[in-house]
Amino acid sequence: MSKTILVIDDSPFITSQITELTQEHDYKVIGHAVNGEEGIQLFTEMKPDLTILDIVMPGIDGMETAAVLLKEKPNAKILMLSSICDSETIEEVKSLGLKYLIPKPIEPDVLLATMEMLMKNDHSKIS
Amino acid sequence: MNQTTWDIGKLFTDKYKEVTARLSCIDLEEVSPFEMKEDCIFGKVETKPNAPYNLVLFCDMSGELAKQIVSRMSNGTVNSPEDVIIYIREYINIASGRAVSTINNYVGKSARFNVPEVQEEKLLVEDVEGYESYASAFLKSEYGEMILKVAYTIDGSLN
Repeated sequence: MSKTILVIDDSPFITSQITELTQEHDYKVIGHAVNGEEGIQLFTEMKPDLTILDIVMPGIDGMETAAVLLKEKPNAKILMLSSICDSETIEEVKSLGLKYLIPKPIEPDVLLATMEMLMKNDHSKIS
Repeated sequence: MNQTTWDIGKLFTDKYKEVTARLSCIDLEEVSPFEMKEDCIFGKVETKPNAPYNLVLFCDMSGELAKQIVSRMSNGTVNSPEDVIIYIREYINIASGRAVSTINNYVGKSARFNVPEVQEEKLLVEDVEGYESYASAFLKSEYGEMILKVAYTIDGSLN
């Protein structure tokens, strides 16, 4: 059975890219939200195996969204995505207890390898 | 940070050239200043009000260049005017984000920006009043032109 992915990103380009990259690797994108509020709703309804979450979005940003998702499910597997990947942003992602932030534009190999690490890692949060 | 030795305009130009090549295999080259012709797409991205420094970027590009960038990003599947706008928004997000990441690392503080605005009508006012420095770049490709204008106030004492 394919591992399910929820994409929370206001860009259809990113969703399309992730869908295309992952479908040949036993993943299935089951939902796409264009903002944090919608993403939280879909996360609750769909219970995805993995959530890929952009930082810059209209409304609440990805950091706030991630905090809400983690409150609902502390061991949620969340991979952050952003065009801004400076040291402070990386530290902010870590402060949420998350391990992975992938820069845009997405490198296919980096995305797939990071997803595999996240899925294999029983403790997706930093201890 | 010594701003006199660090060219913000060149940073944005380099990142836009790099991302354009990466996403669409289109090469942009810097040319002498020119006036944009009609049929353009206008983009704007600015740092959030609470950011540690202030920056606004305007990215104007010819309609044909925008269509080509989007066509290549989408493997030819996207071509409606509404979807071109949506894809160019992400293109500006990615290219600007790469430049802002570099600035953030340099100043040691993280600025984020709002979701880029993109539209076919010229943005009402390219308001650069109140910024300390300005830079512009004129770029050309085989499909059309692009003008980047960035206004910024970055306090070097943040470092």
